[in-house]
Amino acid sequence: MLGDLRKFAFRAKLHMEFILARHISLYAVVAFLAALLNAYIVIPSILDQIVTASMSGPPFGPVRPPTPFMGISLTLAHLIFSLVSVSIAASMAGELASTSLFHLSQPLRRSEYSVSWLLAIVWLPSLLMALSLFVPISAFDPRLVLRVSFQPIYLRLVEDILTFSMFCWAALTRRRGVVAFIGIFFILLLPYLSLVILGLISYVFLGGRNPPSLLLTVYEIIFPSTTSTLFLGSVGQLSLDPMRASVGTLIISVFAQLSYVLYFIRKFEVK
Amino acid sequence: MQNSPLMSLRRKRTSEDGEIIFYRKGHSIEKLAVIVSRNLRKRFGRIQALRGVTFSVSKGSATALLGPNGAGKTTTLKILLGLLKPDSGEVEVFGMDPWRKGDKIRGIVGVLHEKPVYPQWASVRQLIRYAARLRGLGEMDEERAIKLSGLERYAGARISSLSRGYLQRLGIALAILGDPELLLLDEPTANLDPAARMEILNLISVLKEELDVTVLISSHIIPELEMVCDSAIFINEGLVLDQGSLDELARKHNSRAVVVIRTRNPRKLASDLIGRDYVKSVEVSSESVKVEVMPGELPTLESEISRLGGKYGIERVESAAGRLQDLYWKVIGVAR
Ligand SMILES: Nc1ncnc2c1ncn2[C@@H]1O[C@H](COP(=O)(O)OP(=O)(O)OP(=O)(O)O)[C@@H](O)[C@H]1O
Ligand SMILES: [Mg+2]
Repeated sequence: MLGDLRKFAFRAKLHMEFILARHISLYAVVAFLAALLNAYIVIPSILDQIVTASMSGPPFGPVRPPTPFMGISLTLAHLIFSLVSVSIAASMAGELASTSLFHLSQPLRRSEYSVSWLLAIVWLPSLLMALSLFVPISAFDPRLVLRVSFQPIYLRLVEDILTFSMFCWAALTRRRGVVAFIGIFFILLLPYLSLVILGLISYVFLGGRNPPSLLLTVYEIIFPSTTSTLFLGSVGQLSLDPMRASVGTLIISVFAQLSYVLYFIRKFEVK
Repeated sequence: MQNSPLMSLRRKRTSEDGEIIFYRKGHSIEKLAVIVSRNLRKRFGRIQALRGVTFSVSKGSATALLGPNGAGKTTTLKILLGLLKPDSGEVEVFGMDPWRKGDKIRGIVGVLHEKPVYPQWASVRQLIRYAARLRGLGEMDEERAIKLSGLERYAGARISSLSRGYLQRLGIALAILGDPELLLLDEPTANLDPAARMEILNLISVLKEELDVTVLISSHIIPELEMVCDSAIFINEGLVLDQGSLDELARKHNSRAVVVIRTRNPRKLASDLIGRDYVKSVEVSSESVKVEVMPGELPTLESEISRLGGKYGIERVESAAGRLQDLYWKVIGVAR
């Protein structure tokens, strides 16, 4: 059992190294640039916070609400690492249509193969994103890490993990174009498009009242971070607290990832 | 082949887990069958590729998988590797179900695909190293595979830069990595120049003779198959028409075997041979004798020739041309 697990980890790691080998330096550069960008945006704002806090009260008083700058750097990191995730998913789609024949002719299980892609598409970009936010701050001064408000970062990560999990499914179409389309659609359009639709529903059918809370709840669960940033001033309108909604997001993510792996193990054929 | 790296080969007799890997069937014919397939069916959309494929491959044999284009050969091989899931039927390779235990099977089975696709960006050595590490093999094994397949000069080359023939050699290097127990070869000599063809065929023979590797080869080049194979499976439109050892099949289908013997004494040899009851006809020319033997009696003639070799100054025996070819037309031709 333990030996099996070891073998699993060993082979999944080998495969992951192999598929990432070609682009790993690119991803490292991207992560580094993202970190620099974040440092440039976030650190001055934290310093600013500390200065104002020290002028208006005791030096280590309660942590202040996040500054808008954190939001900007989060959004940037989100866009950058979503692109990374989409591009890895696109290479998976390309591989499924071609070199998967080579990989799956080796002593590599379909589970190992699909899990290593899952790690590369979902967890690697999420991890890099988190690091790009925290590393520059802690490099500047580790104590500052505690000054960052964690909730928006957490919500962003949770939302992105769900979105990236969808990219794994998209890759199963074996078409790069489909992955690219779904990627752009999920990152740039869907969060806002569905809001517009919600708005239209409430305007056309409900005479301007709030949309049904069920729809709103679904929206919140799928986009906890987008919700909390867009509804910043009017949390009262929300049917769920974003932190509560994020539990649903996590559950759906786990389900999406498990079902992707199961589908792959049971159904994926190298044609 | 005297100083070939093959000399250093030692077989791993058990799989990693130490379990017994050869499968014993109840039937007497299927003694130590490495592959057993019963009633395999596979459909791709509207095409029924396999409609009940039943065959077995016994340990240590070299079996030709023969059939016209679209017969289902590649599909069958992919099912044996666990790359495709059969719609119904049973299949066991080393006693394991390929779809569920594919990784174990692929650890001891070397494969060369009909249309292999490799990551273009990698170098030959990178790719072989990756495949070797997945099998828990080291650098020695990598080097040996590179050497045996004649890839030394291209070990550092990018795969995208390889010619088709060298791509084929890369496929062979990957297939023989780490002493496989079974080789599944889908058109192994495609794209090779004549010298490379012979090299690869020799390699297959040596692997079979010295290391007792079981080989299943799909190909359309019948004379080549005849050189290395001792059994055949005929498949057409997703059905196995017949299978067995070449001798058995030749007897069954009354198929003729012709051998051309180059000798310094053609007349004497001919008059000696014509009296044997297994010889059907003899044709004499200035330096050779063409002998047609009764179906299934080729081995008898072969042992006779080696006995008479010195006596009649026999220089060379040319292939038993046409036996498999003849069988092919008899078995597949009837079906068509
Ligand atoms: N991935 C696939 N999708 C759809 N049809 C397929 C697929 N693979 C094989 N087929 C069909 O299944 C049938 C058997 O194909 P297969 O490749 O097994 O034949 P084959 O015996 O290897 O032929 P060849 O000698 O031409 O290589 C053919 O009709 C083929 O078109
Ligand atoms: Mg084929």
